[in-house]
This record gives sequence, C-alpha cells and structure tokens, in this order.
Amino acid sequence: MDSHDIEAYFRQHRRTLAVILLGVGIAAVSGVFVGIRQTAADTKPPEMEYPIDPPSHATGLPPAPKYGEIPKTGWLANEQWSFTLENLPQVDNEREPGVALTEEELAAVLAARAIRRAFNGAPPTVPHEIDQLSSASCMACHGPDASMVIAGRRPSSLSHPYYTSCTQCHVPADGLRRLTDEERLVVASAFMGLENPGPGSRAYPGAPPTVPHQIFMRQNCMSCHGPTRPNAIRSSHPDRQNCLQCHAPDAGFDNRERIPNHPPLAEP
Amino acid sequence: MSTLERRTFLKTSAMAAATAAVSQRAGGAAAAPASDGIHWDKAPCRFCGTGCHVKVGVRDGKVVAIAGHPDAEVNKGLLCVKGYHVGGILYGEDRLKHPMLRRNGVLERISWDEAIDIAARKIMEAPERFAIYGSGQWTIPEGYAAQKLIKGGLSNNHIEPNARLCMASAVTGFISTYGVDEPAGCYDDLDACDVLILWGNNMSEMHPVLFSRFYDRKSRGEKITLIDLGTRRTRTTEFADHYMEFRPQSDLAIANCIAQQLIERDAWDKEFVEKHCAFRADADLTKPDLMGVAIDFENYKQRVAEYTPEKVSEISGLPVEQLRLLGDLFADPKVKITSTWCMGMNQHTRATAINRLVHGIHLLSGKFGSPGNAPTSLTGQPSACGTAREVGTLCHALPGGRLVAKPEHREQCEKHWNLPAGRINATPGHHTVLMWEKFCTPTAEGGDIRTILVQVTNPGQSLPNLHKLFRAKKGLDDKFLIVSDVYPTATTELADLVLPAALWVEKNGVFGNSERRTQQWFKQVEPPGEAREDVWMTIAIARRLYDLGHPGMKDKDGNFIFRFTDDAGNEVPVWEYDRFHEINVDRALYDDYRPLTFLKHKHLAPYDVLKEHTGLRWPVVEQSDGSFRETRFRFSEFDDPFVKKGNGIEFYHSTTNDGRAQIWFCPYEAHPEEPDEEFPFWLCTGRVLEHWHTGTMTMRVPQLRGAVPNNYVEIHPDDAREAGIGNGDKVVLATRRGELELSAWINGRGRPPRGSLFVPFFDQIRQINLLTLDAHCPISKEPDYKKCAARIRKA
Amino acid sequence: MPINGLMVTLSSDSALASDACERIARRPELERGERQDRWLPVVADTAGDGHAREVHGWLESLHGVDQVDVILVGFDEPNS
Repeated sequence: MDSHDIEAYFRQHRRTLAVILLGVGIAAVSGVFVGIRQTAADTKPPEMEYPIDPPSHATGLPPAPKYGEIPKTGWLANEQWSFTLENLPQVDNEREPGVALTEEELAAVLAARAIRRAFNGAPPTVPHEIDQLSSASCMACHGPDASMVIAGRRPSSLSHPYYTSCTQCHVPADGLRRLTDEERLVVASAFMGLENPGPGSRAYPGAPPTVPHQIFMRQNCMSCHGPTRPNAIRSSHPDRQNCLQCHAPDAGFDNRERIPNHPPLAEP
Repeated sequence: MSTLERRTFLKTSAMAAATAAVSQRAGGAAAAPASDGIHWDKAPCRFCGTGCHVKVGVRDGKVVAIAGHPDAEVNKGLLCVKGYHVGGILYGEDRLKHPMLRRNGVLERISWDEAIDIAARKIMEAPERFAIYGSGQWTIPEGYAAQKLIKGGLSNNHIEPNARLCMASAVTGFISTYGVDEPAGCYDDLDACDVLILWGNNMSEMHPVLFSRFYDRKSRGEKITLIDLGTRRTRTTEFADHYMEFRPQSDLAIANCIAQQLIERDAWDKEFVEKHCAFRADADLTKPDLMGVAIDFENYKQRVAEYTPEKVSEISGLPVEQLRLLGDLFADPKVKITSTWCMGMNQHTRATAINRLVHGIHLLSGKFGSPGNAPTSLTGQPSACGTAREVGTLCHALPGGRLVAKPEHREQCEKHWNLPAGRINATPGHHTVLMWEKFCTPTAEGGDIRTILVQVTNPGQSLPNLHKLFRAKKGLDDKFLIVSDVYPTATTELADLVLPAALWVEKNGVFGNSERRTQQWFKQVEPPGEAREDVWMTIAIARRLYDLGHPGMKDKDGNFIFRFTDDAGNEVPVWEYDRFHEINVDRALYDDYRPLTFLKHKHLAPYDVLKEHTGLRWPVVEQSDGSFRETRFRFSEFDDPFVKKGNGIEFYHSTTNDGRAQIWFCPYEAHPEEPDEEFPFWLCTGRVLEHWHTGTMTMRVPQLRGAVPNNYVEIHPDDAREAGIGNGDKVVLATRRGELELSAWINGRGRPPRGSLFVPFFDQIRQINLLTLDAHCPISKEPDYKKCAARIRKA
Repeated sequence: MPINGLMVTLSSDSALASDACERIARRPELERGERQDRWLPVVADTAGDGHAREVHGWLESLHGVDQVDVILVGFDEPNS
C-alpha cells in the first residue's frame, strides 16, 4: 500500500478504528485505575523497559522551522496543508453540514473552550490524563487528520507546525488526580484573561470577516475551521486553501503594535 | 446562464439582501473584535534564566494576555507553559497590599512611614550585624542599590543572593578556568552543535524553550545527537539518543575518564592546548581554594591516567561502551559538542571541581570558541547572571567582576561612588549558609547576624536543612526578619516586618540571562494596594538612616549616597514615594552602574539602546560610527572585539596573565553523606516544568497549579514493592534532619533507578528542604540539594 | 418558482427563538443565513406563489417568531 492507499483505507475504516481506539482507551483507563489500587502485594509492578531508540515522531506534519528562521519562513496560513478536496479530512459528523449551532450549543462550546485557556491565545490545557513521560503519544490522536471520535469527543488536530515537546506548552488541567493531596495550597486568582473575541469584523454585510485572532501558532486553519470541526466556526468553503486571500488578519490580535524590536546588533 | 446557476445567483442575492437588512436592524456590522483597547509592550519573562521575551497585553490597567515575542532571538515567539501564564502571577487573591508588623505574634497593618522607620532603626542599632539577602530575581538596579547601600554605605559585606544556592559554583568554575565569570558561548551553539551533552540537566522541563530550540532540529531531519547524563530518567531521557545513568557524585570520574581517553588516544587538540591553555590542580585537597597551583602536562597526564573506562565504569555504573562513546565524540575533531548544565553540577559538594572538569575536557579537545562548541552553564533565575554575578551582590564581590578583598577594586568603587577612601570593608561577609546559620544562632552563642532584609526570594522554603538554617529563628527575640515579598510565603511566616512589593511589570526593570543578554522593560500596570518597588524600599531605608544620622549615608561631599537629579539638575527626593516616579530611578541607577562593567570587558549597552531591543549580549561595544554591536562568542577573534587580531582565541582575563585558560585536574571524591544501612536511598530534589522555584508565583496560576497541585516522591517500582508501597500511597520520607509525609509516584514523570528517590521542592505545605543537607562546596559555598541519604516507609 | 429573501425577527425569549431557528432549519425550502442578535436572514425557495404564502404564514405562526419582513422577491425566468 502506498500512502494514498493507506489514507483511503483509514477513511474507509474510520468508524471501526474509532471503536478499536475507544476500546484501547477504555483498557488504558481501567489500567490506570487498576494501577492506583495496585499495591506491591497484589501484583508485581511492571518492569521498566525502554526502547533503545526514541520513538519515531514522523507524522507527516511540516516540521517546525529553526528558531532563527521563524521570522523569515514566510509561513502563511494553510500554506502547506491539504491542497485538494480529496485530501481534506472527510466530513464525519453527526450534524448535517451547514446547520448552525443553537445559541445554547454555541455558548456551551465557547464555555468549554474558554475553560481550557487562561486567556484567548493561551495554549489550551489538556482535558484528560497524559503520558507524563513522553509526548509521542499525543500525536496518535491529535495529528493533522484528527477526525475520529473517542468517547463522544473529537480530539483537536494540531493547529501549528510540529514541535516535538508537546508538554512544553500544553499541560493537563488536572494533572495528578491520583496524587493530589487534600492539604495543599489553593489560592484564588483574580486574573481576568482576554476573552473570546467573537466573530471577526466585516466591512459590509457579505464581506469576508477578518481573522479575530493571531495567526502565529494557528497556521493550520483547518484545525479549527476544517470540515470535521463540529461547531459554528467551520468554514463553508474548505476547498479554498488560501484563507488569507480574503480573510485579513487583525493587527490588534496579532499584536503587531509597534514594539521596539530592532534587528540584532551582531550579524549572524 | 443555466437555470441552476440563475437560481443560485438569485438565492445568493436574496440572502445578501436579507443579511444586509438583518445587519442594519441588529445595529450595523458585527461588533468590533475584542482586540480593541489592548496595549502591547515587551518584557522578559519573570521566571527562569533562559530569558524569553514576551509581549504583555494590558487592558484597563490589567494584564489580560501574553504572547511570545516573535522578534526575540532567544525564543522567536515561542514560550513554555509558565511563560504563557506569566501574567497570572500578578493576580493571586492573597497579594500582600500593606506593610505589616508582628505584634504579639500577629502581623498587623502599619503605614509605610512606620515600616521604613522600624527597618532603619533596627539596622541603626547594629549596622555591622545587619545583612541583606536577595536573589537572582532582583533587577539589576535593585541589586545595585542594595549593594551600594550595604557595602558603600554601611561598610558591611553581609549581602548575598539566593544565587549562592544556584550558580555560585558555575561562577567559581568560570573564574578558576578563564579568570572571569560568565559563559563564552551562547544559545546560538544550540543551533549549530552536532552533539548536546546534558550534564545532570533535565532540560526539557527546566529550560524547555532552549531544549526545543535544539531538539526540533531533529524533526527537520538534521543529524543531531542528544546525550542525557543523568541520575534518573526524565522527560529529557525520552528524547535522548543515549541515556547514561550514573551513580550520584561520579560525574567527576566521568569527566576525568574523557580526559584520560583523549590523552591515551593522543586525540587531544595539541595546537589549541599549547597555544591557549595551561594545567592546574588544587595545592592541598583537604583545603581546596579558588586558584590552586600550576602543574605541567606530564603531571596532569599522570593524574588522569587512573580514570580508565574500566575503572570509571565501576565508580559510575556506566557501561564501558558508553564511556568510550563519550571518548569517541570528544576525540573526533569534526564533531561539534555543546555541554550544558544547571543545578546537577552546581549543587554538588565538589561543584567547583566538576565545573572545572567539564570546561577542561572542552579545552583539551579544542571544542571551544566556535559556534556549536561550548561549555555553557544555564541559570535558573531571570537575573542570576545580570544581578547576582555581574552586579556582584555576593559577600565577597563588588560590581563588574571586582572583589572586596582587592584594594584596587575597593578603591575603584569608592571613587566611582564618591565615597571617602576606606569606606568599603576589606573582609568578605558571610556566605548564604553561614549568614542564616548565624541569624538562627542566639547572639550569646556567636550568632552575629541580628537583622536580615530579604527581598525577592523565599529562603524559608529554599534554604537547605530548614530546621537549622531558618526555623531555628523562632524564639530568638533579638533577631529581626524584614521580608519584602508579593505573597505570604514560608519566609513571611517568621517575618517580623513584611513589606508588600511590586512584581515584574508593576515596575521598571533590567534582567541579565544565561547567555550574557541584558533585557530591559518598563512598568506597565500599577501594583496592588500599597505595594511598592523594592528599589524604592532600599532607597527609603537609606534615607531614613541618613536622617537618623548614619555617617555612611553621605558621600565625600556630604550628599546622600542615592542622589538623583532631574534634567534641570535639581535633586529629586525619590525616597518620598509620591515623587519616586518623577524620574526613571531604574535608568539613573543603571547609568551609574554601567561604567563599572568595563573593567572585565562586560560592557553593557546604554539604557536607550537596550530599550529598543529584546535584549543584547555583552560586551556591547560602541562602533566607530557610534552604533553598538553585541558579542555572541567571547574570546574568539571572529566575534569578540577584545581579542587581539591574529590571536584566534585569547583568554584576556587569564588568571595567569598570559592569555591562557586553565585545564584543571580534580579527583573523584565520595559524597559526605552516601547512603548506608540506616538511610539506604539517595534523595534528589529539584523542579518540575510547571512550577518555578518555591511555587509562590506559579501555585497562584490555576493552569499551572492544576497540572501539578502538590509534590510527591518518585520511587522505583522494585523499591516500592519491597517497602510495600503502592502508587499513590502515603509514605514517610526521612533523612538525618527530619521527616515528611508524601504520596509515592511509581513510574511517574521521572523514574529514579533503584536506590534513588526524587522530590520537587515547590510545595510550600510539604517542604522537602526540611530534609536536605547543608553540606556545601568548599570553594563556591553552594549546598548540595541533589544528594543526601534517606529512608522511606509506608505511612 | 419565486425566491424570496426574508428577514425573520425572532422572539426576545431565547429558548423560543432557538426553537424557531431549528424548526426553520428543518424546512428544506428555507435556507438560513447568519443570525445577528434577534434577526435571522432566510431565503425561501418555493414551488409557486401558493407555496410561498404558505411558508410565510408558517413562519409567522411560529412561537419564536415575532415578525417576517419580505426584503427581496425574485422570479425565475418564465421559459425555463
């Protein structure tokens, strides 16, 4: 099978796969709970075995540019993503396409979104337990074609280039559930983060709205606006790949206000 | 036009018209997005020594958003999870908002005038028994003001930063090797090296942005090798090509083994060493000192000869093949190697020795002075380099790499500060551990420190062996602890006077990061309540001392030592808080400090140049056209303007005054508290990604606290099984200094080998430093938080 | 076969309004536009005048709809 066939195969068997993954998920979760209860007397703790080579991170995602090259890469939104309809993730959604969310549903979606972010633009926290040691497992569900449904939830697909160390920015919201002590320091916070911006502005009715958020680290528009995304921000025209042709970024959100940042003083 | 197209067109038109009508009815176009009213400005991140630059979004006087600064060379728009949430640290609900004095055991609100008066009078009672304890979180102007107050004003050298607990050993390593402190390389090495060796450095958690800067090269197909030399498996290990798990303390033997192989294989860089290096060793191993004595190559060769891979394999537990692999890499002239380290090497009872040895193998192999070849120490605090090291807020140092013990250095500072000759005391003060020991010892028993002013740090949680070095203060009625902080901490618990401080972008500031980069920011929001700038507190206390008649508060001409003038030349009484913001005091102090940096060629950039950039790496040297240029690679002719043309490499601050760096020999020596029958485990302490130091700031950010709400002890599954401990069970961890109840985590984020335990130190409720050892490096005086003997049982 | 652009004014009761929106969505001959506050643009693609009037009446009869305004009336070309 070449890669195309594999993709087709996966598309065809997505539902089956989802069920299998769900099963694996349940097994893993129950494993976790068994693990909690497990004492030395019950079972032998697992041997620590580690692969000699680190796990492969090959994902088909464009790799992150070198730090020094980020400003020069000229990365446009959606530049390297799917260029043909055929390669776009297939609609695999309970809801009929084009049917907007009700106000309540939209409010619920936005509330769930906000609860995972300290402010609009903050890296979202992870609403589930994670493999504390390795980032490699993240990509199993959050890859570019994340459209399977696990336990009624659709994992979000990576919105930015592939950086290797996911936990550098994304930490579990409830990270040590099993090790959380009752007696611990909990202080309320009065931090009021930047709220969800709402829709972009339109010059006139029918004009394409501006992008109401920054583009950096959200270069993969399809991550949120693609066909499999279930909520109100799904694009009605995913086949048009050059998003920024019509949707202008908003300088306020891109925080491109003039901040002193002259070029380096030593030529590299 | 076909019918279908026609219908579609009509529908579109109908929809457009209906939508237009709806828009008009609903109040015109959709509401403008919420970006309105946000003002963005720059600041370095408040946390670690990486020195990422962030953009701070402020609306209605509050920080509402943070973004990575895309033009910052350190981080290029990216941050770690702490950095993205740094805005939240300002808004914990329990911010300290008013000065408080302890009366009958209770902290009661008082006025600022009272607070400053009490502090000054306590100092006035016994100025020679007063000490200042700050940190690598002091801004450069804050540290400079404290330094000037105590050394220039009170003729007292009892000033220390918590950086003594953090990078003092890196300092002694640099000085005894190169004759001057601070790394020669910079982060650009991470973009260029073929091999990165992490010496006891969990970089993916502790310096995540730097780690990704290196490691993400791999996903682009670059052939790079990551070697994790560690004492437990961490997240970093998961990425490593080679994990080399050594027995604690045996890093000394491993470094010597690399030197032994280079010499045995005749693979050392003879040209580099003959031109640029000399050899050195301790004169007397029982009393090691900073400078040691010269030895010749033959002597060096003889001493390292015993560190064969076979022997070192026995000491370290590393397989011979891994030791040979390290030898192969250093022996290959084509491979570019960067070594980084942080607390693993610095918090070590032989810390200066291991620092010297790592520099030594880089020099011996010639892996120095070109992009990708560097031994670089990473710092844990935002201005450990800028304030602790460069300003020299240490008991033995003066600004700009000067020493109190050197008459010419004292004279230079006295002259610069316009002080009478002899004002600065020639005797170094107490280093951190001694300072706190003396503070916690009754005066009658020789406890010669009576009052301590603590700024921007939390010694009540971060000192080792807390029972002895902090909590013993309780009940000593003549001891007085003044604490300036932003939140209630383990330190304010014992404070007699609490001063509420402004934090991060609530004040102006300048920080210096791990790669010699100086970064400036402006105040962007108001501090809460009556919280005020630390630098104001220092000046106000000095002014009160002046009013009380302390002679040291006047310079040679009878002027107050902190005399600031406005553009018209009139003195501004900045000690009156309502006049403090009339001028930029930060700038005035920075301008005063800057000329002192020229002696050791650490030229800082002028304030006006600094404020236009996201940090500049010193020396920042003025060019013939009046512009300024930063320096990335120090001591290398191609980049460092102070190297004489034609020399290639020049160590122009050489301790031997001949342009040479020192390759040290230091032997492997056992740790003073190795595990034994009674306490059979090694106990290591450290940080986690989500929390910074003692957690006073990060524990007040819900996202960070949620990720790791409390500490725990990591234990190997076999050890747990033998002790009947299950995952999540409560255990009692004990050392010779105390015990603590914690939850056990088996196969958790970090995985210690058998016989080893690990506990993070951020948790204020379960303070692991009640258990740690205060044994320290004899040269750097930095304690070893990474190793002591412990035992564990199920609770 | 007329095509009508309508502006539907929804009830200020948001539950009723949402219900009305859903009901509208279920009618195959109605296409919804982007709702703004209480106003919803709707295009009705009907088989004939009678059908169009029936749709109009149905819309007005919904509990969640306060008013229906006709914004644009289009007719298909006669000979197609």
